[in-house]
Amino acid sequence: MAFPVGGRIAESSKAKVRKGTLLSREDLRLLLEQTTVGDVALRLGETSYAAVLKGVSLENMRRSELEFLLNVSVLAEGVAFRHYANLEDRKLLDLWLESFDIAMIKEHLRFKMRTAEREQLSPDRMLDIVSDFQLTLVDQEKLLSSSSLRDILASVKKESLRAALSEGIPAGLESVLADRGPEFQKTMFALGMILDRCYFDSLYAAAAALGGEEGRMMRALVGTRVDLLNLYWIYRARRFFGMSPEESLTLILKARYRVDFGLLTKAAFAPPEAFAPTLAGTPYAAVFGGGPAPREDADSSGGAASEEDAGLREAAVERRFYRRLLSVVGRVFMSGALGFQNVAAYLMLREFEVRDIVAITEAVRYGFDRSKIDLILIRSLGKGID
Amino acid sequence: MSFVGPAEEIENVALALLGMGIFEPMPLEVMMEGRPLNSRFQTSRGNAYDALLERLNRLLRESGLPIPERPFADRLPSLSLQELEERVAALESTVDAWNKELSGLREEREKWRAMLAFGDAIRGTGRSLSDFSRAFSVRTAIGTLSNENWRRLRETGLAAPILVVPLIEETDRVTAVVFYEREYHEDMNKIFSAVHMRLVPVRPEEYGRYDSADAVRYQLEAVESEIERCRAMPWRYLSDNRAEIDKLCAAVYAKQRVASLCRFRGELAGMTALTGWIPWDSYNDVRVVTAQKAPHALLNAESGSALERAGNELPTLLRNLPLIRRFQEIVRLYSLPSYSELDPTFVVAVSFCFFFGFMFGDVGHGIALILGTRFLEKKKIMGGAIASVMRIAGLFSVLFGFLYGSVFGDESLIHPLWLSPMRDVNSILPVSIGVGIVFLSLGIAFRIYNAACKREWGEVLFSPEGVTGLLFYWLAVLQAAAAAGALPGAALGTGVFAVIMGVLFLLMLCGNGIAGFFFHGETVDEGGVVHVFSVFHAMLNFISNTASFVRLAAFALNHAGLCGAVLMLGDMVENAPGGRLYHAFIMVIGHLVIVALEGMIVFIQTLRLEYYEFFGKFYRGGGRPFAPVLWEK
Repeated sequence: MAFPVGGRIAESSKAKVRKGTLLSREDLRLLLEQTTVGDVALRLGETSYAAVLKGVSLENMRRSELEFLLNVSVLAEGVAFRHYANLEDRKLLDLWLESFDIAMIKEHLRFKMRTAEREQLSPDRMLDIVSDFQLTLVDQEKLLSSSSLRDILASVKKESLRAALSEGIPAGLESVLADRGPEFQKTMFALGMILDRCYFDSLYAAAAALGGEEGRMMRALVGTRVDLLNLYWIYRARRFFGMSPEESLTLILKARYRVDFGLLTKAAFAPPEAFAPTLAGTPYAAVFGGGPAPREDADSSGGAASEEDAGLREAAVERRFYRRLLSVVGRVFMSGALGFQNVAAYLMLREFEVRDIVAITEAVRYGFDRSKIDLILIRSLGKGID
Repeated sequence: MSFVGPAEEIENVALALLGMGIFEPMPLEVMMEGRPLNSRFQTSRGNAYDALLERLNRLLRESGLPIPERPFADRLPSLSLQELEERVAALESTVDAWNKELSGLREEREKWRAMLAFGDAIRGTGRSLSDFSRAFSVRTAIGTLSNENWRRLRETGLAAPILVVPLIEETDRVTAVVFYEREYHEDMNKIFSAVHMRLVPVRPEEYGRYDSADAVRYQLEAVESEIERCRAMPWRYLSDNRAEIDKLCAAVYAKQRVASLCRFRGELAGMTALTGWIPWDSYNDVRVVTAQKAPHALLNAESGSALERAGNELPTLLRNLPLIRRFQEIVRLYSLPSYSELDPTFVVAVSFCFFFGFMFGDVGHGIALILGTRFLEKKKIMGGAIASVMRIAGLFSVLFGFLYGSVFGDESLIHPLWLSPMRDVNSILPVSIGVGIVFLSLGIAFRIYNAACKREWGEVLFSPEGVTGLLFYWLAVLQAAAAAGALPGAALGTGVFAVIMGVLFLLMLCGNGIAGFFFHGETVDEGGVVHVFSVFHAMLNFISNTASFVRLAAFALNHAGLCGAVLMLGDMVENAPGGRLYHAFIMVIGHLVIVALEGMIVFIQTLRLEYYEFFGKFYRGGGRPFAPVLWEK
């Protein structure tokens, strides 16, 4: 028993120590004051992101490269815990870090499809950056040299995921990648959903199998995200993609935490304006605009008038989604219990911070209205203590 | 090494380097940094042959053929990437035609199986499929989907106005029929698409054609035999053309390996530049090969030390004798030595075996450890170098067992060749401390050597872990030994001793200043106060590090004590009813615990002595392994 306990103490302590290296609000504010992506990168080079930015020309850094390097930093942070974790936690950690592999597959699909309007990092450069890591879900070399959907499937190491992905590819499209027709776009969307479902379902199953306080906390961390994703996907499917209630229900995960299928059905069948009221009595109503807004929102939104803009309103939903998760992360650290939940919570904090930095970088790069940045950021820049 | 020359010649050199297995490519930009032409070289890191090789391998795999052996080819095939791509594409298109036919046949089989199952289900209710096709208000759709999607469809069925019924449930797939209202057809199609349900292309109006189960079964069998025929076709085709395909595989593989070695190359005006690391002693071989294979190429070599001084991180290649090589893993566990650092593997190998045997000396337990390691190795619980290290450590346990005269803790079976830890405590303790003194001195000597290699003369002469520190330590040891009566007559007079020690101590305290004065340019990492504390800390370390080696004797005693306890427990139960059985049980369990638990503790203690007491004196590590590109992928 001595070793598992030792491992838990070590990983929990490291998580708490590493938490102290996250950027402060002042750091984020300084990033926002920069004028170019290179300046943002230079400033990040003086923080805990220095390790991942080492040996790269920061002055001339492009947004896509910086974004990828920041995502790699989350992976690197996670990998650093492997030495401390016992065998079971190591498996869980590897599973947790598969989110990076999933993002890589999606990014590669986007690159090959060139669906995104903005600049994207070339596969060669990606391969160069991730060459130090051994990804568990995907063979990075095969993935990044793939030129067809069949090649992409062949790069996936996990048999079950490979089978699920191949099911999502219609027969005629197997060997094509550069076709941009509607059927292909639909396939891309379906593949993205399969990847997400596979990841979150496996992660929640692994968290649900844990016992004690560790299990409870892990279920809360992953389960809250699962619930929010289920609701968010239905919300978006109904609101923006014109899906029928029944069709939107086919998108959801197998995993359920606090929101059961009955409530999800109710939410799917509710008209868009009644979506949030349907969730009354759950902790998620406020995320979708129902119930009292979280205090931080009220502080930072700059009043209801500025939220009238539809785009910003949707961004605010996404921000509240993550802030809801942030409150669960806070509870994990407050509890002080030892276990993998501390590592998971820390990695979530890193992930959210990277999201915020990316949002700031985009604001700098594309000249967005910086006064409204607080409507997008997960961590408010306005008030509060670090 | 840098090679610059015509692309074809450089590729020939690359092939030769692959065969030699001594070249680790490095990005051209690193070597060219700050030099003219740097920005004019076009660099590309991709390997176009990766995808081609993968396509070829997949073709063979999917056709059930083994991937051919790849013996080293001393000549690079003349085919270009485009030509190779065309040949692979031609093969793919031939095989794909059969695969397409096979896929169609499989769908056909799915249809017949589904209709047979659906027909059986309907006939079970006393009706026929033709009756069913006349139901106008309800539509049916039959299809197959994965278990996961089946779960999703069933769940959606709870919220949608549909009825889903499974027809065939297999381990990974389900064939199901869905009943829904005619008006719901459009929505239903979206749901089918979302759950990736592959629909059987039979309209309800055609159901009558599937009424006869025998006719359906006959069709199903015909399709299955056709599938068998079609499945064998790619295999047959590729087998018939095996010689040509093997040649194609060899060509693609050779090109892929060469491209992999040249992945950091640069191109400029038809010339190719390639840079990378090689072991220095291979330089002459590389020169000869380059002269033969690339007569028009330029070759440039720079010494590792110069490159390291310029701030480059050089890879480390450890070279040790085969048996000693096993202990590289122990060094690597801590950290690989950096390029110019002394490789401590030999000393680690010798001392590790000695320390382990000293603390765990027992003939029986040593043999048990060897057998246990072999067992864990077979079960794949322990493997590689660590298992070898454990086996060698077990061998030294046996050796020390003979020296201690101990077999499973019994000291009456063989006569000790040296001493018995339990009976000769007064002898074994000084020996363990003596070993510590020698070992620590070696650690300091290594530090002196490393510092001398880096020309850090202040560190060599005045550091507490330099020459002055070593003299201070030896003098203190000599005086202590003389005072304890171990070296009668060796003691210095108190005054002389105090003066020498005082001078040495002052030299260490003022070492930074003196070094700065005599060896201009040597930088000092720490301030004065910190340095004073670090000198005091080093003095304390001399004491604590030396005392740490008492554990050698302590664990030898501990081993004898534990064995004594097990033997005593066995004797206590021997006279009880069934005593022999209990005795045997206690012996087996007791010795197993000793081998497993104490063996592990001694292993950790040995590592501690190596890493903390020895490595702590001189070792920095942080090296990265030399990773040449090899012919075998």
